[in-house]
Amino acid sequence: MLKVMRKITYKGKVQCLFLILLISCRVTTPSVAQGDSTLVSAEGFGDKPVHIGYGIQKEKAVTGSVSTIWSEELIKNTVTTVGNALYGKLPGLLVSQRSGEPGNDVPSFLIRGNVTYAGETGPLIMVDGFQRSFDQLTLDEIESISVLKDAVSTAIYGLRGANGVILVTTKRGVESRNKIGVTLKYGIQQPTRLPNFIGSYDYAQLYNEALTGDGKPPLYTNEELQKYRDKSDPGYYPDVNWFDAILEKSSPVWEAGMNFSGGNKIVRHFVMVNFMKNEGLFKNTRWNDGYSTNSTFERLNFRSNVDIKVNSRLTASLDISGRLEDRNAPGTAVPTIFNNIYAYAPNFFPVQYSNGTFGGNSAYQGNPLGLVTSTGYTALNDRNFQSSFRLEHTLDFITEGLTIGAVGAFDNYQRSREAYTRQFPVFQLTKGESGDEYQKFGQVTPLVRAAGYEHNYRSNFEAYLDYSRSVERHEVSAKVIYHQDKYVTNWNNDNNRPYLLMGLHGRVHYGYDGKYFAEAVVGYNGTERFPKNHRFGFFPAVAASWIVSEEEFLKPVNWISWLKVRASTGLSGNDAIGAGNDRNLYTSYFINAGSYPFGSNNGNLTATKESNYPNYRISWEKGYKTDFAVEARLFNYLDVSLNYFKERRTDIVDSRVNELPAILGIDGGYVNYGVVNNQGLEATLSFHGKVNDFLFSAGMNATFLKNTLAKRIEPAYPNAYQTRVGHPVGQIFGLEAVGFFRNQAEIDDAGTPYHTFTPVRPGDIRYKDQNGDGLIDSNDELPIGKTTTPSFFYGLNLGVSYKGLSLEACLQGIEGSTLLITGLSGPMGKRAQIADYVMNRWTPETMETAEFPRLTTLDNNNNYRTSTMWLRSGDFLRIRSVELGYELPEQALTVLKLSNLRVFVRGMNLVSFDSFKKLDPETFTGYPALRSYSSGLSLQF
Amino acid sequence: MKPKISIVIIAATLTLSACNDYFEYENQAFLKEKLVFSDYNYIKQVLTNAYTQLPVSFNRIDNAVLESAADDAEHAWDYSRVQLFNSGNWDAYNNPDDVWTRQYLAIRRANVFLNGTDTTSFSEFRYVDDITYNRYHAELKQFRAEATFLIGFFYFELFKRYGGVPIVDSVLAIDEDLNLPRNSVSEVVQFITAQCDSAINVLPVAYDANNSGRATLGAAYALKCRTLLYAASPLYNNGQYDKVLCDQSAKAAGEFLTGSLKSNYALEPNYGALFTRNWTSREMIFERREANSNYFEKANFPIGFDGSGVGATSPSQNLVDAYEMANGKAITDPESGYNAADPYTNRDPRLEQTIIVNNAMFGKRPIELWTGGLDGKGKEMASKTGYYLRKYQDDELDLLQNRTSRHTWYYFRLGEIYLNYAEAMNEAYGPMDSRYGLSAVAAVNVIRARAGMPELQPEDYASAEALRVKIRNERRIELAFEEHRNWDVRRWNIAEATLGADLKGMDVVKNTDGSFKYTPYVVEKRVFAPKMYYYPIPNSEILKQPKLTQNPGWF
Repeated sequence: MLKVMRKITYKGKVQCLFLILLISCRVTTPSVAQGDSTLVSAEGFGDKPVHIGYGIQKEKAVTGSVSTIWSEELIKNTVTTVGNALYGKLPGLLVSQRSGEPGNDVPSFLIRGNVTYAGETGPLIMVDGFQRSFDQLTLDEIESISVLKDAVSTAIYGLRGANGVILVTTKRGVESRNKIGVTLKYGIQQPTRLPNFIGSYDYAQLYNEALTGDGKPPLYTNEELQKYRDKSDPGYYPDVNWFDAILEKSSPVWEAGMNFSGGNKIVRHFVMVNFMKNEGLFKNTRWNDGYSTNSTFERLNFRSNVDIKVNSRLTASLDISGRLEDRNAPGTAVPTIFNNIYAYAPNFFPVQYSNGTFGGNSAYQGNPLGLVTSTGYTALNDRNFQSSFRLEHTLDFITEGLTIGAVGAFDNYQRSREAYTRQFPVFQLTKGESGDEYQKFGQVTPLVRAAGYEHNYRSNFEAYLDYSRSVERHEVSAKVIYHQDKYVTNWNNDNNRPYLLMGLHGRVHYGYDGKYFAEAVVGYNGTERFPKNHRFGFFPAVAASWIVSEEEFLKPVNWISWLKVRASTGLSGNDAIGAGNDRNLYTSYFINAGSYPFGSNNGNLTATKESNYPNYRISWEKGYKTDFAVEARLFNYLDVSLNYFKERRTDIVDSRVNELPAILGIDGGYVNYGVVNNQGLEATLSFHGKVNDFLFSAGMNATFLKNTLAKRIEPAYPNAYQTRVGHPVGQIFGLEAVGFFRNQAEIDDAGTPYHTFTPVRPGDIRYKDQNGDGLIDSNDELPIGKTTTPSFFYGLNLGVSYKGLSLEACLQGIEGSTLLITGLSGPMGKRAQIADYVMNRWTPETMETAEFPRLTTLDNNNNYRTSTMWLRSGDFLRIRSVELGYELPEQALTVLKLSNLRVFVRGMNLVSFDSFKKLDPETFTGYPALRSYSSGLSLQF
Repeated sequence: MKPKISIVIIAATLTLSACNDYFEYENQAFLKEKLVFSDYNYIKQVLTNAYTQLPVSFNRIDNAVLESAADDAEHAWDYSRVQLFNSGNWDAYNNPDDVWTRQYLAIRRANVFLNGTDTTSFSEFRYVDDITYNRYHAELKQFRAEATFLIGFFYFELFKRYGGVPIVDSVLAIDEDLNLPRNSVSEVVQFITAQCDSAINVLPVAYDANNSGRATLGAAYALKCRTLLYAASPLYNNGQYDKVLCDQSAKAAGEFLTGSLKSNYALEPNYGALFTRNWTSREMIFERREANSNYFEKANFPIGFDGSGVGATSPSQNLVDAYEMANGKAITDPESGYNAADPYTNRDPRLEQTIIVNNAMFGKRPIELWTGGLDGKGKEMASKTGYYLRKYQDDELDLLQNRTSRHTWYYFRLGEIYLNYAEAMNEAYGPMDSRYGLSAVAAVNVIRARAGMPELQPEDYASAEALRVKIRNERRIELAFEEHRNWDVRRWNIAEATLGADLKGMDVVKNTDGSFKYTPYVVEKRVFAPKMYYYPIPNSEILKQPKLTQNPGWF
């Protein structure tokens, strides 16, 4: 904990927030001492049921590492994909933002870091017990999201559990009167931070400077430069900001939902329907009659979860849910549009000439505004359907507490893709003999339809036997589950083998006296990815916990109201072993590959080649995990927990390309070889207090990771510092820049190492010769900077409320990550945009203060390679959400005949504090990341 | 009660083990090796796979032709990887034309074919259908000879870049000792010629209409001829020609010119017609018959054409100056009649058949290469030298409509054989020796006559040295943009003065009276260091295979 404090306090920007937390502690301490009740009473603490793999446990009986977020907290977000509500909420779970494009804004998830360098790193995602995506669920239908992290909670998933599990549980009806809930949200969104590109005048000037440095004549005359500067002739001398040209300042997003829930002794139900529309930022998307070219996402979700007690022993549950997802986008892929924005210099041509035609030339015909508005549109229409039917029968006539059950689940995914695309002409303005002439490139073509169809389905069957009984001080529960899962993609294609999983899993849980708990779990399953005789794996785990505060000797200690220690150890696996075609690594075969033209018609003859080298023993990654944790509630208002974890991931699949010479003539296949050691600490601290009518809460969670690559197949590096082993997964390697060459004499000096990549000139980067051989080459590359994923991440959740009024904020940050900024820095010969930060480049005049090397038009291998020159800190702290809410008092509700009414205004992803400041630290390229401002209400009858 | 639970568990376990069939789905696209090598059609396809590894030479490097890395051209796009050669920006870590891995992969593909067909018997046809049985066996023999030839071809690709390389003549397994040392240049040359010799005994002289494009007897002779000529060259023989190898090369060439293959090949009467929409020429010896395409035109059409603009090949002034006047004199000869103000008139006809010069017709209009013209300087991606490439381009293609046409890339054609022969004979026996039925001078004159150029004058072949100059220039002109220049200047040991020379272009200005002003200028300073005669072996391979020694000067 001290480490946590130290780490945080020396980070200035976090400091103030931590101070707030401390101050609020101080303010409230007296009131608690005076015996005021706190938000949560210790009474019933730990009785809340928590979802774990294939089961439910009371919080206090949980022996594994499970973090859960509940509906009440989830719904305080305005997001269009569930993952974006999880930033900074759960210890151990790192959520990283990606593109903000409507319908394509799903973030990435990582539980307890990157523990493999080859296989999939993302967690297993289970919705209501089956492998399904949760990205497009609505927040309204989710009861809880649990993150399962350690061996005892993941081993039951066998060879799919090692990367952790996100367990999503949807809402079900409970016995109560029928309730009707309504939610409405409306917001606007705008880009967080767009890169700042230099304008035409600077661009042209720098281009000349670069050419001069390359020993070439300048391209732009002074007269031309002047025209770029005074912008007097925008037809010939344009200065374009493409972002302004294609993006609106903001775009709307809204959502409306309704749900019904309740139940009696026989039937319980939760039924809901929700509609969301998220519009993209593109401009002028209504230029075409009859269709829009904007990126738009419309989604209709519905769900009906019904439980029926058929008789005293038999319960039937039928869950049906579905989604209509309609995505619209410009006819040109959105990444292409943004690529062109990044690739087109500001002085190429105007967006549009005064006559309304698009600018362009023979080499650059992809005018971004033209691509947005005039290439037609693409519509993706998804019709997804998910269902499950469960029967559960008690066998109390055999023995009390015994139940047998079976579930069948069928999910259907259909996507139709319909693109209506066309082309558009661009014009180049040239001075002809009779004055200005517009030379035309390309032409208007009619809309051409191209359609595609994809049909995937997943079917699951599960049968189980459950035993649960407490006798006196003994509590026993046990469960055995048989489960099979078949996922078929592109149903009509014979060559797509289905994805298959089959397994038998079990858990035994024993508790004594509400104090001592022990658990043993076994996962035994196999998938189609492995050879017949090595297909099934056995994954055991054990755990124990002790609620110390229940012991007599702690009862008198008033300030400890709750204290629990737990430990677990065991094994789980990862069958997504990476390496491209990872389902077929164990097979040797010949396959059609390419063709070659023979004969007088130059007709192609099909070719057949051998597959890569097979490995008949290929296996899954194995994660040996161990956890120790302590959880406590102190002074009745402060919850703290510390969880130390460690994992040794072995059998990571490695390509043999790095050890087998190319003269072999084939990829040497893959072996289970690599090892990564991962360890870390999760800490949480949360506090609830009350002064008069003011309620305060502050929660912090932090995750520290230390990750070491222990073994992998490496080339025989001549120097020890070149090896990747011993460093974290994803460690950046590069040269150490030690400044710039000031003049030719310095380059020619006998003491200067010879820079082998290219003949260097003054203003080029000078590197340190690490091995002292007098040469600067790849052998001088050593670990520089950090990794792209952080080694420390944290969330802060702060709240204050007064009567019906509440103010809440969620902040999230990462530390210990590095960005590479080579991309927007040149060379100018690419004729792409240049970020404004390169203005601080080397010139003979600025050589003392320059931050970047001289500009060049050439693919300069000396300067544009990974080195300390281009590293920047990727650390940031972001305000992910701030919400001001008001709940109507009871008197008013009675008048309105409502049981609840809440209104709110909310800001999402508002500010980012970071040191780089030039780009969004998470989303540099493509469709920008978004911030949003929204308001809304929820009411319940 | 307890037993019942166990029964359920046991039952479930049994289901599980019985259900191993649950996983048995065959991927129909995966073919078993045994099936592949017993089936005629699959066998053919495996051989075809080796053919797919032949180099795709149009736009070889990042949309640029290989000559953009030589003194014959510059590439219009600064950022193309081909420019790394010109700025000296390439090494054992970064080589835009590194083919090491690709060639060994190609060699393996051919060896897999040879290995797999070792035991092919087609026994199911025996006694049942002996006609098919015999035909399949005859074809298999021919297929195996094709594979043998291809292995030789792939090694030549390695040899001309790296010099001596490890010879792998079997299908290697991962548990074998793969740390093989390099074989010497002469071992590799002997290996390639041995491959040719063994194929020569089997390959047919020609194929039927469905199989043209396969390796023929002529292809094997041509590979042997070129390999021996390279091996005989100064680079590999301390600056001198090896007369014995020259003789062997000339003999192989003689098969086409005066020997057994004489009646099978003939020069295309019109040089210009050889390169566009021509897939039937009798001049072809070994060629890649590409299906309809337009990617070469998209890259190389003058910039004013709609649909072009990937980054055009810009032929150099250095090359243009090498074309003689129509009277057979070099433009540097005061008596040549060369007029610097009207530089393209009365030149070797091959100039305009190869290169688009200012105001020349291309497609339906004259090409405006002057500054400010439709295709000239000032346009993005316009030619950097004042010239565009004409050879191979189909100027009738409408790129806007995405029209395509057939393209044929010549790996070997008869024109080269004449010049190989001339060079080899001149170096072995001097200009006028005709012991194989044709003298070096006569061979050159055949090529010149076809191009419409006068015969060599006596002063041109007064000595072997004088003729050498003429032959080398003739080779540069005749074979321009056919991937010879980069290797010729290396094997002739003249790369510093050629690849390292300033690359020049022509600045064209249109005068108000409609006439043009032509001013040559330096487009680019080129970098060539002696180590660049050989390519570096990729550093990553040396790390994995320590017995490989790096070529001198590379790190």
